[in-house]
Amino acid sequence: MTLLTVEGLEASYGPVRVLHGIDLTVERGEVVVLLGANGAGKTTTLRALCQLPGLSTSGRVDFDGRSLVGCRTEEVVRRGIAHVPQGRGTFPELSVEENLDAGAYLRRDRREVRQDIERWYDTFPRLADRRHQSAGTLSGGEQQMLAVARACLSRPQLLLLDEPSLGLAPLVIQHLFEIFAELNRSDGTTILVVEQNATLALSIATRAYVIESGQIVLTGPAAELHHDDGVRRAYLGF
Amino acid sequence: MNLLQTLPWAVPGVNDAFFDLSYVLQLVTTGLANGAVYALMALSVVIVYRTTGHMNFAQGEMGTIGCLLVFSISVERGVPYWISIPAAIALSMVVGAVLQRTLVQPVERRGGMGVVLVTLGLFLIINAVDAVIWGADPVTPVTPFPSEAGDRFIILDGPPQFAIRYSTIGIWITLAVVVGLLWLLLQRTRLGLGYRAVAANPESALLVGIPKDRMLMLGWALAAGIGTLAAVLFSQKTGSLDFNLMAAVILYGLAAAALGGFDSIPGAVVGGAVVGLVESLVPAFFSFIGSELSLVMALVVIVAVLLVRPQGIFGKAKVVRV
Amino acid sequence: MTTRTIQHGSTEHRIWQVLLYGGIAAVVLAIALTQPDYRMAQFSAVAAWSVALLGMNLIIGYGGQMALGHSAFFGFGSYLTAILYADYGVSFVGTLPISALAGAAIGFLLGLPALRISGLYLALVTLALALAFPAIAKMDQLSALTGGANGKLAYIQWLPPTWLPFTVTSAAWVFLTLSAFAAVLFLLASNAMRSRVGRAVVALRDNQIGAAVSGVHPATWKTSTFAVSAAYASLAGSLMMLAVPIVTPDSGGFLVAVTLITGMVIGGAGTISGAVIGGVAVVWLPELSKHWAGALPLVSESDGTALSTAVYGAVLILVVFVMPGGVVTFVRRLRARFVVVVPQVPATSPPVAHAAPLSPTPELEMERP
Repeated sequence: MTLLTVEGLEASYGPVRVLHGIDLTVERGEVVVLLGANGAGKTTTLRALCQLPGLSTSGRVDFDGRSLVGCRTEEVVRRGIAHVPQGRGTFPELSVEENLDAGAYLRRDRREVRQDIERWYDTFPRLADRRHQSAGTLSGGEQQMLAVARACLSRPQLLLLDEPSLGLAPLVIQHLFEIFAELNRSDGTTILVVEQNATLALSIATRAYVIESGQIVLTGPAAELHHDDGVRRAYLGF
Repeated sequence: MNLLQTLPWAVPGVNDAFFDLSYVLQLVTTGLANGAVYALMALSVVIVYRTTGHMNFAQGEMGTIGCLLVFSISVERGVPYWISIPAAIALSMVVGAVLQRTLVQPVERRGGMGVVLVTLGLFLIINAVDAVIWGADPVTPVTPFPSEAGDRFIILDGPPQFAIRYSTIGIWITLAVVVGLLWLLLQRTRLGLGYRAVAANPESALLVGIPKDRMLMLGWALAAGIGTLAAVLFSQKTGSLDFNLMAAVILYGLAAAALGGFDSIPGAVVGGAVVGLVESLVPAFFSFIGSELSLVMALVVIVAVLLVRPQGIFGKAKVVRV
Repeated sequence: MTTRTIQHGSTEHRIWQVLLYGGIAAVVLAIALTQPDYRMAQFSAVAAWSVALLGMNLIIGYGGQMALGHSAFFGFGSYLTAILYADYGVSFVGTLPISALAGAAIGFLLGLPALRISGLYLALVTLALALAFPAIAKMDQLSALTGGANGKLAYIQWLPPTWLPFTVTSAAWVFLTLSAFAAVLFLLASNAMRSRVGRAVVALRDNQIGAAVSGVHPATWKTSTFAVSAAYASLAGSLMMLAVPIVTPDSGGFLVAVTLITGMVIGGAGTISGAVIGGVAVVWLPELSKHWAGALPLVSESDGTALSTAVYGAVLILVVFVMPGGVVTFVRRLRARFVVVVPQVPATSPPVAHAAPLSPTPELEMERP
């Protein structure tokens, strides 16, 4: 069943148009990866999906059967999309615990939120050790863990990940991607991930899209893209 | 009795009366009483600045109109002050939120200059409206705290005498209550968490579903409420109320906020105390500095802080981890 | 409808320019010969205000720094001329270079902290300066010079010379003199802003690091812009003494500061000609608003004065919402429908497809401090 349908999505920052008609679909339970070079419009696509202010968008964006176009970002989150922005986007002055609480801002079931937070502390014990420390003092890897945990605390149907591996040590990246695969497998969370590290992303993805200059130029099952030599040379650079 | 007085100090330009314990304690008390009002103004400035990065130059005027409203309801209509003051504060909060939504938010994305101009415009409009409605002549304000000449604790009998007015203690208690409530609101409630998240990272706040626009309105509402309270207390303190009541106080509040680094609540309180003390002690100590120069002293404080330690007393230089 | 394209510096462009300048001169002369004396005082004030607004435009519009307290420099210039003329017997014209230099020196000194204090903080400091100015002028220690709270009087003798081919009243002669001074100052500023100097100042505003690596030394240029802008404001204060013979502590105060800001915003920050429109607004806005307020029921005469302050505030907000670039930018956009002036392109460069009209700041922008 289709969870997200995007058709002819255009987006511009002021007079500068960045996306020229993006078409993509994400099925429920999938892991879809969006690949592309720097400046191709990957991050903008995710931002446009969340209807972040400062970006004027047009086109069709249906999520779970209803349109997201014109919604406020908080409504998008309420409907079940969580976004881990590029550069983690933690709240540096807030403690780790408060960051997680903020992730559950829209939830009213306080007791279950507590349980979820404890569950995430089990997943990332380093966060548990630093729960009263302000997030700004964490290392890059810890911040990414925090950002992922915070996003998941809204119990999203669709998790958007923007370059989760950027600037992290290989071991941390490995760990994070195992967590993503686990989230998808056991919780059934659908994931749309933007990555520069194509090999890594394709290894957990079901399908992939390649974006170039604000348009989708290629799509197919992840395994196929991974092994097609022409595609690899032209778009993925390995 | 007075050891200080016996000291053979005769420094040119220094006021000899300064070496009297009661006199100095009285000055300190006065300074801290004014300082508490400045601290409240500084809190208003800080609450707006933390989430929006703007300074509301009309903050003082918004307080003045609230205070004049209290005057009209209580003195002219005879409604008790314990109804009129909370009512005026509540009304100010609504007006503050509405102004933020209608006049400030639309120009916010165009950069800071637009917001500065809008708040300056609001300053002029409210100031003039006050003058038109309530006239230019000072009136006797509402006094929520006992304010007769005898309403004070005499601590050191004089002359010169050292006494603390009940109203001064009332101002201090009010400040403590406001800071306490603010702390509870910001640290212990969901709303406060949302406000602090917006202050820390507005975009991430949106991405976890916090209604950022409403948090900015909340900031303006809180600031307007505190500003009105500050105006009421200040009018009681000076015993006279007119449309220019807060014109100078906003500057002292800004100086206090600058001392606190513009984003710290304890910083605003300490900053208010420092500005109040400077205002009362410096002219008393140096006989060649007249008290009419207190505006200049506020200016000097602001410039000095911004040049030497822009992050304020408690602030630390921001460390951003990437 | 077709838009007409005129090349900058072409004969056609020159003709239009000469016609424009000639037209302005003719209007000034016509005002001097026909208007009654009380009107003449207002026109004289327009000339003086517009010089101050030009100074603010240089630092705010072109320099991008929120220096909002230029009333302090304005008041300083007025006091300086009044004191030098009345107490020290310096001729009026003699006070002008002193005022300009002293203004520049103070501007330079105040510009030094402005290197570290930017954005909103600078707005705060400069507004505080304007708030504090009256207190400084009223200081006991200075009252022998400044006349304390009463202000300083200086009736400047300024009679029309005999060599004039036509006869004018002395008020008209004051107006003509001020217009001439203003014209010189405008041409200076206009030429500077079109030259390397202007490009350096604007480059610094738009991208400080980019400008610095291109050889524009930020500290030197920022303090210099501040100094020149303060000199203009100070000169404007001096010139005003010719039109209004008294300066009071409030002449440099907060209300004047906000008045100047309103004028600047109405005219258009970062435009040279906007300063004149701003000057007109500063002089006639209070009068018009008093007039409008008087027409309202329930508003008495004295309330009208207070309401004119409110009108300033309302106009300020209105302009920010409706015409963020001020009247001049608005008119330029209108003009661009009919006539486009393209800059002259050296033969070696590729042709310019869309030449943007010469408008350094269409919108008011500032980064968060």
